[in-house]
Amino acid sequence: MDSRRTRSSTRRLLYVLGSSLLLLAATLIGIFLLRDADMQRDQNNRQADTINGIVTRDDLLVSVNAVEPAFAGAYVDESGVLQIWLTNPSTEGAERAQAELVRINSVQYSTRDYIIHRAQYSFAQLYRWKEDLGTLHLLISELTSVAISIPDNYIELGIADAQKRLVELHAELKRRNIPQNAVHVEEESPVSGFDSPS
Amino acid sequence: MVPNRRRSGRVRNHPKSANSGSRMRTAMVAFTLLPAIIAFEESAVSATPATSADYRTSETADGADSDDLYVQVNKKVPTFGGAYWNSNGDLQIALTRPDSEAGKDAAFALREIVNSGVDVAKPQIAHAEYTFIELKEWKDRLYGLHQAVPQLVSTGITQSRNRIQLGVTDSEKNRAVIVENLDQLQIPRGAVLISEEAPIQALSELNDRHRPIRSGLRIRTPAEPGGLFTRACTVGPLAVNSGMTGFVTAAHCSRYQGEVDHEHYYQPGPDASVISPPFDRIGSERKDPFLSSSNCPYAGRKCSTTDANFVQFEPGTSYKRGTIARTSSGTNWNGSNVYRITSKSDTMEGWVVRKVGATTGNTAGTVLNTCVDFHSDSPNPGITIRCQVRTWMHADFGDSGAAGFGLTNSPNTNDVALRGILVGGSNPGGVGNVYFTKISRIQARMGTMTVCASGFSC
Repeated sequence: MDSRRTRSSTRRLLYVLGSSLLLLAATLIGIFLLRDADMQRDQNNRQADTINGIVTRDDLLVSVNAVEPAFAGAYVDESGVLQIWLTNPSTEGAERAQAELVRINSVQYSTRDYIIHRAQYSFAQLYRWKEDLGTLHLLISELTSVAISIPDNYIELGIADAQKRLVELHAELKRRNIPQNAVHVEEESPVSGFDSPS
Repeated sequence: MVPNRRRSGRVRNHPKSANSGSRMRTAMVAFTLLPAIIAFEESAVSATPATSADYRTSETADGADSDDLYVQVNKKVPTFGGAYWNSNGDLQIALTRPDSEAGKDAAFALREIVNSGVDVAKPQIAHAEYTFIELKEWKDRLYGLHQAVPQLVSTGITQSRNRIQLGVTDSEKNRAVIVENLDQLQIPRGAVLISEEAPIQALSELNDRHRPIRSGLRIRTPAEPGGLFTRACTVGPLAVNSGMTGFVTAAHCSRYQGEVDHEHYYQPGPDASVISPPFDRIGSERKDPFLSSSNCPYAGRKCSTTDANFVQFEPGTSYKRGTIARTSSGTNWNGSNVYRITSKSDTMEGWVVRKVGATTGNTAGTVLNTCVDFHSDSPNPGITIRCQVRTWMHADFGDSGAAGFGLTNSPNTNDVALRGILVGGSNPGGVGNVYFTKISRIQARMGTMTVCASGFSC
């Protein structure tokens, strides 16, 4: 009778121990899987800021210059017409440039109609000068923005209190052999994120 | 020196308070105009001897309203049944026993008690069947009527018709119950007009608590430890991303821009002074693309082509993907009007981008440039956001994260194409340069965002 009771108690103990081990194993597996999912998410999140080497619109447009050296920029207006700028306007040049734009980004530049405009500087030239100005903010701390304006065919600089820094800017442009008419300065206050303390 | 608005301690009026005031003003204007509006539907009232009534308003009213003022006039002129202006702007005074002396007394009493601008020179006298005090007393007896008639929308005294007016949805269906109640309350059936009235929809605004969650609503993150302020931003496009459901907003809305800090987001709270209920927590940050100095052409700065993060909804959060709150004016929103996202693509120069931000509501502007690198030191220093869309529009602090979209009206009216999210600007509170991160870059950094309304694939 006693031995039967002892066997029953042992079985109960083994059952409890076994269940506990199973529970522990399941918990560890769960934690591992969650951690794996988190790591996967983090890996996705650290996706490089580039698609096939192209980071920005400007990277995309400058690659067109390899096919059409006269290319100076393009965009599709809201009515669906491709506006295209060339330093040496020609139908052939426009079509070559459009074909390359479509090859790189077929969705956005695939239009039937286009209008050709004359430009002084190629996009590649403006792009190089913009890159040259990559340290300008160290000289002019009020620099708020830098962009290539396609329709205006110049580099646009936003500077807070622009008038005060024009002399310095012009000297810097001269030092870097960037023509003054290739750069346009606009008064622009510092840009801030539009979150709000509340 | 770059101004730092956090350090400057700029204090802004809470948008909600401002709009509450505006609603109040609207209500007051409507009330002031009421007599004039009623005058258009004026009709002759029958001449019946007045019956006296006890004046009990001061015992029952919980504050002086306009009825109380007219009761005071009635106390001075016992036959007074009401006053209104006809379509010519002439003051009409209704009396149960019309006589010119009582009319003049009533006009003076109105000028003294109700409105100092009342012209007492030539009041026109009309017949009234009931005194105002009678109508007021009967109206007060109807306070419990909504329990018997749940579709009762409004109760008021129409002075031009010398009656109590009940606005009821499905009035014909409810007429028998109303008449039964009038009899029980000993209110003459002839003293009550029953008219059809649709349910009133309370106006709310984007800063209020709303469920389901839609793009355009106010979100806040908790105050930093020891800090007083929370950060207020706007819910951007709702999306499915890497199997998670949530929304996109501006990365600088979270505590650490460029790293996944699992920041919690609340709608609309938490308020700095109130412990927010746990169910107002709607999500936690799951993706926040890193900032890089190695891949940055601007020496000494950190760059990214996005200022966007992804917030995954808390389990059980009610949401409606593919919809953006469509406000009527400012941030007032009826809780149901929406823009529907049916496509997504980047914008180009000259196009119009619209946004619904929780601070400035529904505004639009022209795209000036689609690839601007801007240097920003606020809220986080040393960051350059590259190749952003620059528009010219009205926006302010608290609009960050708002979905930028183009109105396509395709296939239906108010259908839109998603273009990106609002991230900042250089003229807060006014019209000026406002920047958007493109949807293509958001997807390049965080993976495909499924943002369209049901029935559309994008």
